[in-house]
Amino acid sequence: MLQYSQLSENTKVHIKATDLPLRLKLATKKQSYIRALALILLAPLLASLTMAVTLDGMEQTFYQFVAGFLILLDLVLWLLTHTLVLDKESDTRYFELSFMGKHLSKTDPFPLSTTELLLRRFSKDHQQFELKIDQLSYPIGNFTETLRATLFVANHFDLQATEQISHFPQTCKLDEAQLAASMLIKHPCAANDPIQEYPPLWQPINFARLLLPLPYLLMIGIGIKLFGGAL
Amino acid sequence: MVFKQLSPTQAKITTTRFSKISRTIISAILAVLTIFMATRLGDENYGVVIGWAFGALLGWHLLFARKQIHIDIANQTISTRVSSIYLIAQQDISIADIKAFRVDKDSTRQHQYKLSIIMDERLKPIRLEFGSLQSMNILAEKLSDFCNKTLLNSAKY
Repeated sequence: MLQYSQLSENTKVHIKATDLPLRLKLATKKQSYIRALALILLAPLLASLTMAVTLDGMEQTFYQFVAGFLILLDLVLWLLTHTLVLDKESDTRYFELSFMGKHLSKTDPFPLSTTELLLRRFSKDHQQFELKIDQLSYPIGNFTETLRATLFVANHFDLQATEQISHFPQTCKLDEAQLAASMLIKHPCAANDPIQEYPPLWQPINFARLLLPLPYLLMIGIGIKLFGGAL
Repeated sequence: MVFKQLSPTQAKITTTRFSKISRTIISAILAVLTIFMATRLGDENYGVVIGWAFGALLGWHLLFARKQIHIDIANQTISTRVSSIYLIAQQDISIADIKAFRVDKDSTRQHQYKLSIIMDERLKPIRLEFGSLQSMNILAEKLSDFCNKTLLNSAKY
């Protein structure tokens, strides 16, 4: 039975220990949007703070109000969290919106056992590994740490873990022995099985080819100028 | 991006008619402007000529640049060709080596979804097309049916 302390640092970024024996709260896409908006709001905030300090009179008062409003708004956004909660106590999973840790609202709960848990390669470059928990995917790092994270969640909440590594593209139940075997087979054999790497469509030389008509157009332009000037 | 089947063994992916027409109109306007400026070049200095040449280059590409994706089952290739009268970039992918298609999120583009081709699972997926989730899902289904390869369900959120 894996303990929380045995998980790697990369995993702990996503799986936080607060509330843990009873429930697991995971960040969602909406959470990253909220945080991104809070960061973006810092730009007008700093601008209006500068204006509030340097101008005077009516404009200064106006910018003081604007700066105060933006500070309040930014604080609210920073303290708002939208998480996916896997709740062992009530055996459900739901999305929860909370402010400063206090619960605000939640969506309809689904039974915990229907949560899908998938271990697969990182969809961007297939070099690292990620853990997908019911529509949300969390890239973690190398194979061992992601496997540990999957096992931790699976054991803790009694979920069936699946993986898409040993028989890509099919998804099958996570069986540690089979998975370890398939990982060992695939990696050292790279010399015998040359993977044909496809170069991407746009390489630096293609950008240079975009500029190919330019010398001809320059000659035409200079030609027109000389003839037009002479005539 | 729409999928058009030309024959039982050939298909292509092209842009919609609306985007073709609107691009032709805008490039025609720019072409007329470029030719008009060309007649006035006699009076201007060399700096303006260089600026005109760059503008004419933009107009040329706006008018002629095309991306053609041709899928041939008989030859087992998916070939992508970017050209603007002359060839700019080309890529041929062998269908036999494809393991699966997948629609992924792509944070570097406007509409945020892309259609990926997965060759070997250790290699980075090849990005074929970009667009909205709905258009990518439709395109992915048609492509996987036509090439007879698996479609992994990934980005439904």
